[in-house]
Amino acid sequence: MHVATIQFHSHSLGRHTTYTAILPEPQRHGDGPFPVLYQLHGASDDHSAWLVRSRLVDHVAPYPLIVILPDGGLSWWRNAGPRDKYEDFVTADLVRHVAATFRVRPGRAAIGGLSMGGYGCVRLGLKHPSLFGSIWGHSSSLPTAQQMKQWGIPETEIASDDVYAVAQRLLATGPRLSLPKLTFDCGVDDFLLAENRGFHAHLQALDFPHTYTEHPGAHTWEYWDRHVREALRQHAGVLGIRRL
Amino acid sequence: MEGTVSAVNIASVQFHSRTLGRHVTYTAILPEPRRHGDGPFPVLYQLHGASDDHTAWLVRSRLVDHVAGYPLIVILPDGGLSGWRNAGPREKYEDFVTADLVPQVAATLRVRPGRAAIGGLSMGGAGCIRLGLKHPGLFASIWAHSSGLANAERMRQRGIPETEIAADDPWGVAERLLATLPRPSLPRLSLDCGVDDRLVEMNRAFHAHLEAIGFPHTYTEHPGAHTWEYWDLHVREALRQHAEVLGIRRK
Repeated sequence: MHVATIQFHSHSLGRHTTYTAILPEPQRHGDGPFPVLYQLHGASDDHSAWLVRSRLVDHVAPYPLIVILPDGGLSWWRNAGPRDKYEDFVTADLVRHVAATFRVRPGRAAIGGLSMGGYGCVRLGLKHPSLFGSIWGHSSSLPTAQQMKQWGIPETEIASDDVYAVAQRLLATGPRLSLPKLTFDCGVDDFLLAENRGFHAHLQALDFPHTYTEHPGAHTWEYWDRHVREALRQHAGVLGIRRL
Repeated sequence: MEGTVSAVNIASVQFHSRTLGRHVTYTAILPEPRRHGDGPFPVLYQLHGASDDHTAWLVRSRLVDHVAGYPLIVILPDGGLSGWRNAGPREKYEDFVTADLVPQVAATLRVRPGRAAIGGLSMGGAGCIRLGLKHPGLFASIWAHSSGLANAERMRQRGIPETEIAADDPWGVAERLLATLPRPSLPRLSLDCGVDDRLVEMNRAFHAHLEAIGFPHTYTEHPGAHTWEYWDLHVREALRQHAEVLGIRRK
């Protein structure tokens, strides 16, 4: 097991923040360089949640892959007001800091997450296709523009972060071949199931290539600990690494 | 987002151990105040295996979730490669746990007076059995997974000094406790092992020894080997026993 906790100053957030890195065991995987998976936590959790509450360390051990667990507060991984610029934090500060700190392979990374982090990875992945080649959201919060309005989110932020529109814009601008591989799953007893079905139907209507699956289970760590293993298989395939 | 909040309360504590003559770190998994109130709470000491450290149970099992229902403090100490024994002058890990750590935890966290529970895996399985049986005034419930239970002969083969073998051979430790304590005050002792574990023969031999000397205990075997999958599954049974012995109820 090879785990690091890193503090660094994020320019976008204007303060120090902490992230956890799960690093490949050198004796097993050599010196790299390695591709990166950014794995995002849900609302009310922090950068230690995936580390402590799932068995991600063991699931990822066979892969020559660096996993970065950032802290997103309650921002929904968005630029949510002047003090909570978490999209900029991830895509500008964190990605650069990780590349400058660890033995990172150049090229696109993978991104995943659960609940608020499911929304985060889908939205960040689709807004930054040059950074992320593989996306997998579990039990994602996927609000429509109308829901975001009801939550009191300013119109300017909705215009930029409504994930329905984000998918549409990416499809309109990028060639299909360079679209990131997009998968999301949800438990049939999850309170977010309707949002996931709604977004799946939207992608189908747009003809946006993706995979959506439902499984038994609810909004629980039991569910995420199980299905993150499938996500790792997809990320490994897209990143071109093999399980040892 | 009602229904999504299930809080975690974890502390990483550094303190100076007089016995070890240096600073050490332990991890504490604390009961969520909103769920379990302010305590005081009983304590479970959960010991890691050889080559691991105080973060292993935290990171590699889902212990945090399994224990969340119990009003219980879980302490994950660091035992190096000591076998949780007094293994030479610089590695007095038995004294560290029983003389430094237990009072430090009681002085730091909201601990209920009285005996604690102790558990562990592999090196920590042997450790919790030995510490539990040598210190029945401290520990009332013992549950060991996949334990590395070397007998005196094996300890000799590993080059352990005779004085340490005399003190720490688990066979002898169990015999001595049985000779000195009335049966009702013996700690509750359970062991389990996977049938594909390379340590299963040691566990069977120790079980046979306990049966031969009439030491009350439970020994079970399950499918599986020396893996975190196994421990993540069976630590849940251990928690049920500890809760019962400690007189706490799962919420």
